[in-house]
Amino acid sequence: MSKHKGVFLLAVLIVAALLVSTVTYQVDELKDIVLVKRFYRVVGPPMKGTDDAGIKVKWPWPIETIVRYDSRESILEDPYEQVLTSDNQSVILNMFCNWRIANAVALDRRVPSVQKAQESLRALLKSIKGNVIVQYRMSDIINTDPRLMKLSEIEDRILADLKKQAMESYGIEVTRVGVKVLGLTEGISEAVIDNQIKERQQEAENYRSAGDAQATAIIKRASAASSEILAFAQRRASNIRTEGVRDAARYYGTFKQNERLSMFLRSLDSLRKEMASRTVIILDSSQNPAVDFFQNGPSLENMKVPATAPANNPHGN
Amino acid sequence: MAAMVFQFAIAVAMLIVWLRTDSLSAMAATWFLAAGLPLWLMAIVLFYCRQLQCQEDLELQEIAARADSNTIFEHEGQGNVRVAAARMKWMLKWAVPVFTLAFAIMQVALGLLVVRQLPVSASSLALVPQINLTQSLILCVMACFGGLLISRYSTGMATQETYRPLRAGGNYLLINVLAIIGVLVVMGLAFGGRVSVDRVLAYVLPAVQLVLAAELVMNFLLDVYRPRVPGQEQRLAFDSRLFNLIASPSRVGHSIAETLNYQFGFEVSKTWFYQILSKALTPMLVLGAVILIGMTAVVVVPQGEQAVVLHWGKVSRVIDQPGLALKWPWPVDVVNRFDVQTVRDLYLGVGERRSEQQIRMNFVKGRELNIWTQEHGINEEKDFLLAVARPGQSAQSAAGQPPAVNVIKLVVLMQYKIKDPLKYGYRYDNPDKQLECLAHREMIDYLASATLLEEVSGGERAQAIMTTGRQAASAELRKRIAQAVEDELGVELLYVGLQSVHPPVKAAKAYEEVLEAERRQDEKRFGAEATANRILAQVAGSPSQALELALAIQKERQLESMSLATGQELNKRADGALVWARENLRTLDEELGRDRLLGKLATEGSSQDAAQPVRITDKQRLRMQYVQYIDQLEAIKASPARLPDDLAKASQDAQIRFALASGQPAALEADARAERWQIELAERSKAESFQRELLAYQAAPNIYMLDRWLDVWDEVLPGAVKYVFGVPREKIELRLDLRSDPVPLEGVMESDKDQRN
Repeated sequence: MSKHKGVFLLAVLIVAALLVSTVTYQVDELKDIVLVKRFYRVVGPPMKGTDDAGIKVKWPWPIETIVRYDSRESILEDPYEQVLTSDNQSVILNMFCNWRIANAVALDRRVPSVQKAQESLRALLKSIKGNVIVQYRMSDIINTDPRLMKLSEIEDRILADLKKQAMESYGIEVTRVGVKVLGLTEGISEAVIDNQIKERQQEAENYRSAGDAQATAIIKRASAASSEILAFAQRRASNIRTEGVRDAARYYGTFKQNERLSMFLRSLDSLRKEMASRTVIILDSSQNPAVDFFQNGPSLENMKVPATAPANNPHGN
Repeated sequence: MAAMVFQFAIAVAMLIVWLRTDSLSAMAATWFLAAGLPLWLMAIVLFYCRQLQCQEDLELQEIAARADSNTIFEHEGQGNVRVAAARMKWMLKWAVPVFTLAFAIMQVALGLLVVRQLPVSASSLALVPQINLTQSLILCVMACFGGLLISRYSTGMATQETYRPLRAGGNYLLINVLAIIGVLVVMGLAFGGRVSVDRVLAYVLPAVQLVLAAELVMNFLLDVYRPRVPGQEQRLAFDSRLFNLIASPSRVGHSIAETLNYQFGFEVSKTWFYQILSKALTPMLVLGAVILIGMTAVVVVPQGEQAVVLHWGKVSRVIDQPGLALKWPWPVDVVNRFDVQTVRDLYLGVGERRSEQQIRMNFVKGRELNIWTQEHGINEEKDFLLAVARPGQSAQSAAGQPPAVNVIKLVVLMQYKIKDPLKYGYRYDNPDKQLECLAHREMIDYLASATLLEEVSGGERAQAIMTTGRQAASAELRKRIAQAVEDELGVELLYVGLQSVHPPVKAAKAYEEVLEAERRQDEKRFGAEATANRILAQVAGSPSQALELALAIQKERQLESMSLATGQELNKRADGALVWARENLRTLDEELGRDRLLGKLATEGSSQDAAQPVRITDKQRLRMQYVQYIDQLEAIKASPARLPDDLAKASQDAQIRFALASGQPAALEADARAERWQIELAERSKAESFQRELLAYQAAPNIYMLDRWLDVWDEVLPGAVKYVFGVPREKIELRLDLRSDPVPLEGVMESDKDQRN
């Protein structure tokens, strides 16, 4: 016996530890709700971590057993589901809800496990979601004006219905319902994208047209401003020129001494200017004394002041 | 044989448990139990061979007794007729090693098969009715009890050399019993709703099978190289030493010694080291256990972590400083550690991770290329719906029509770290998922009404999230998500930003087409502006001066027109001027808006330094003048008496601006001034020379006139083409062709001939 004293002591310790573990249980302050069952019947109120945390004693198995629930809030998501709105639009909606165990005794009595309760809650959420969404239009879910979006209202209505039903059925308190994903079915999504493509093509065309229009407007505005300024400038130039004519009028009295001579001299000035270029002269010897010599030979008899100017044809050959 | 039947029976019992409970560990245990059947089969074969060998020995002994002792073939004859002994020898030499390898392969195959069969989702044991659990519990207890009996009986028999082949099956069955006890514990915990152990055990059992297989392969190899000692009993390779250790814990030292002696071929267990070790084993194990428990009284909190200490489940303290700390040993105090420094990333709007092949497709020459026209990113980007207002379609879409939404790809990156471990760890059972859901919800609520490119005025709507509004949208989204999650989950948001905003791949080209068209529009506008600037610079020196001068001229003209009217007519003309001015102001505002978008102009309210004066551009100055003019026109309408003064000022302003302008008008004016002086001076010069010419004329009028006349001809004739007719006029017929001058060589070319034809 003394040879196996150590082994014996070890065995005694292990057995004692196992025994202690069957008659005690621990309630965690932050996450436990514990039910004690004596021969499968719940004994006393649930032990809540917030009130009854610590180590507790119970009768060993199979007399008393404990059922432990998580007192923290859990989250569950319903499946992505296609639902119809009141204006017959189809959307895919994925929602989540937060829940916690409010009445552990009721939960223990009515569902075999928490997982089963979650399944039931998910089914409830799915059903209530469909019932509520169908009362709203697509524009209430998604809208260009945020004030017209009623997502919060939809969530609140689903929450109210779900909360009531979950508490009555399972002793579960639903604390929040929210939309996680909003989408479209593949076919509708394709149609929407096709629409987007057409819109963008139209937009591109608008930009092209606007580009032409803007370019034309910019040039026209500049041309108008330019014309305006030039007209203004012409007006001023014309005024300046007439000032010159006005001042030149002072000298016209001088010409009045012999108007005929003055006019003759101005005619000569004009003739000089007009015949300065591209002039073809046809000299008729019968009329011009200077060239009459080609026909009749030199003679003073024919000398006379010419009565008319020679033919002038600036464009002639 | 009975043991094999029983092995089969408990395997069937476990199969029933599996089917009744859907337990993962029961499934693994069923295969584990079933895998033991070949061991018993091999034992039967070996026993049969040994039995035949014994019979053969007896027969030979009888023959030997009866035979003539003088037979010269006695020894040779014995050697030739020992068929069973040879068979037994062959079995031990070939069949046992081959069986060992086959058995190991089978264990590996079954173990891997079980692991592959394990579902991703959690065990469904919690959904099983309690009656099924109870039935399973009873079955397990029965199987356990029976298995233990058979196992102990077999291993007890195996202590004799004759029944040694039973040891492998007996040990294996005992490990099976331990597996069934494990399943029993799983069922018991399932009553309390704790099912996670089921999955753990379902992994442990295949692992045990894999370890067994590894050991058997090693046995096979070691058996090949061990020294053969004559007369020594051969240990069967498929008889697991490891299982033997577990099955005979009281003989651990003996088993180890036996194994070592067998492998090395001498009495290792007789050495002093081994003797000391075998005596101190139990105290050492106890000491080890005490040290292990003692170690649980020390908490090490690494840098960047915080620890919550629970004393019998109650929060006793939060250790927020790194270092060593003491606590009561497990299970009195339990510590949960939280990493509060690591920055965690959360992507909103993404789905599953894309395959490596898909990710590699985004790499061009080793660089990652993310473009709209092909799927990109580590994760699949999900569709996000964006509300749009379509012309001619109300927000309420008609049935059968696609809804008034756009589909885009929108990915938001969120970075956060844990701030309050108590809130993060204990308010929600899955805080990460909670965070993800709340953030997604805020994203939908805020960004569903956003515009992609367009800027809209006022309201809470996120706008131009693809371009200029991206930063503002990120900031607002961060604000909203922070409000929703920080206090609720005990986290600190470090960053929220739109990581990716773009159209779906199919529509990407159309979006790019718009961007291209927009750039083309800019190109046309810039071209037109360049032309306009050239035109304007020509008339005033610079475009801005030209536009201001044009406005000043227009003002003068319009005010002059108004000054010629009274009453209703005056108001009508003022209204016309107002329309003109407002239209120009609107155009200017559009241009200023575009300049602002292009960054040519500071955004309103964006000046970082209030003390630094804001530079006013030419367009802004022109805009101010239009605004002043509109105010002036309004004032004139209200009080027409001020019109003359305003007209005078406008006229003066136009004159001043014109005087300052350079370019074509200035040249025009300069020419006009030059001409003005030319006119005056020319007349003055003519007047002065006329006095002298008059004297000459009075002296000889005809000669003077002829002289002047000929002076003209002398002057012009040298350069002119001249035709002199030296024949009487009546003899000449003159034909004049008044067409323009012929081009040199006209008429020579073939084309000219064709034209003539």
